[in-house]
Amino acid sequence: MIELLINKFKGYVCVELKGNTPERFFNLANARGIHIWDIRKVDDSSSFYVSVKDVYRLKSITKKTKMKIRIRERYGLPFFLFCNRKRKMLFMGLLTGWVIVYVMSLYVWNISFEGNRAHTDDELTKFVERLGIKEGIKQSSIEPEEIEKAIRNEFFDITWASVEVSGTMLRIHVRENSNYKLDNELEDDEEQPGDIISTRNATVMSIVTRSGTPLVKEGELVKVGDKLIDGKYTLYGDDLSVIAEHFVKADGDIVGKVIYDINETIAREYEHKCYTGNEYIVKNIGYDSRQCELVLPWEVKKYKLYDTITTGERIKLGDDFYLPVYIGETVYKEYEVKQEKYTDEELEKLANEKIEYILKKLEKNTIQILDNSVKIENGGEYCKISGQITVLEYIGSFGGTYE
Amino acid sequence: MRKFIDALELPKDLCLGALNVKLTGQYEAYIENYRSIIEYGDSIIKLQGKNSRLSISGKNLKIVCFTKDDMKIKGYLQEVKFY
Repeated sequence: MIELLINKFKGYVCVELKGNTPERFFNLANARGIHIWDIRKVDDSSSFYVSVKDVYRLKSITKKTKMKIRIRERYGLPFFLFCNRKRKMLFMGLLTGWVIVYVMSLYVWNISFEGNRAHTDDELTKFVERLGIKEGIKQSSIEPEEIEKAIRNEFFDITWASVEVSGTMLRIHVRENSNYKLDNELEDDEEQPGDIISTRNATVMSIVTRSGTPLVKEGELVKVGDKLIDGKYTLYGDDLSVIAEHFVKADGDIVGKVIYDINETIAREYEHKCYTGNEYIVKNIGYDSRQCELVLPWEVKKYKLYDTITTGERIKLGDDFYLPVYIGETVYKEYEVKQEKYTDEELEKLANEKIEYILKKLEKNTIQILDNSVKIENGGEYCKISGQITVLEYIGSFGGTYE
Repeated sequence: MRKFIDALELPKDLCLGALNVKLTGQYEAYIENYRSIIEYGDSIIKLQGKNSRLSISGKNLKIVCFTKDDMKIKGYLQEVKFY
């Protein structure tokens, strides 16, 4: 294979040999170190392949053996260049293409992150952008050690970072310490004293205090933001004088009865998008993420209403060699808006679905649904969903902290 | 001399310059230690060794490549004969 490539690069010819003593010819060529291959007998002549360089050396042997040689075919790069010597633009194009690809390969066109779980790609991308690392940066200006150091300093839970330039791709590998955040949060929580406040307008049904001073009793009405358990813990003496004040992190479970008012309407009439089936596809090419259409969509101007769906893919050579060129297509789909009306059954189904959705949302925090008096009123142009849902739920949340 | 080489189990192609022929089925022959080509045709190839001659006959024979010491022949081989 390698030999074939070398021969193709240097050029070789197929030679036809005529005469009475081909054996002597081959023996002499062999003795002089001329590399000949693929010898075949065709009728009364022989044909073989020999490199361009050795063709001239065969002359003396042909004279000696009184044989005649004729070049039948020419192969390889030198002959290709000679045949296409007048096609200057072809070579210019090839050269320009090569130069463009070479210049592009000096820049970074894609940044990827690996090993990150707690930190999203967006978060890390924004951080490296602040360091000046973004798509289109010169590879020579990247200092991997500096980036690694900056990432480790910015994100304390990232214990290891490695920056690697592969092709036109900048790969940033990170390793996170998943226990770090938990430990840290626990420490923070234990240290910070504060109150528990109400998150709902509710009636307190039960209160269990684990730390702090309870401020409300069962049956009391509370509003959003009301203090339920105080983080201040006061010690009184026998004469009711304050001996000491401790600040703790208030903790406890407060269950409240919360009433949710439900008031929704669904219009009978609705707009329905109908695709007419007319669509127009335009091929796109673009630099970076800006795409431009190759053909102006004159046809599209005839459409009154249309959806535009643009898809694009970045060109890459191999796995890692990304180029800042996007190729894709834009599909223009024509549609019409039709006014339609729901039937009574459809409206009822929609209303039931809505109620189910509301209940599902409530179930996340709720301990128990006590009462559900939501009713569906179907008739006329609207369908009304109204009523109240009474639930028991935890209403306390850790709120204000003491400085 | 031959007895001596036999007794010492020395390789004969090196000590005696004997032809070394390796056949791959009927399709390929690899010959080492040849001296020159005596006859070449698409149905017969005759080679000169140091002490013997080799004749390979068959159909559509072609010399794929050859150097001063070895040669590779392809085609449909029918007979390999020393004479």
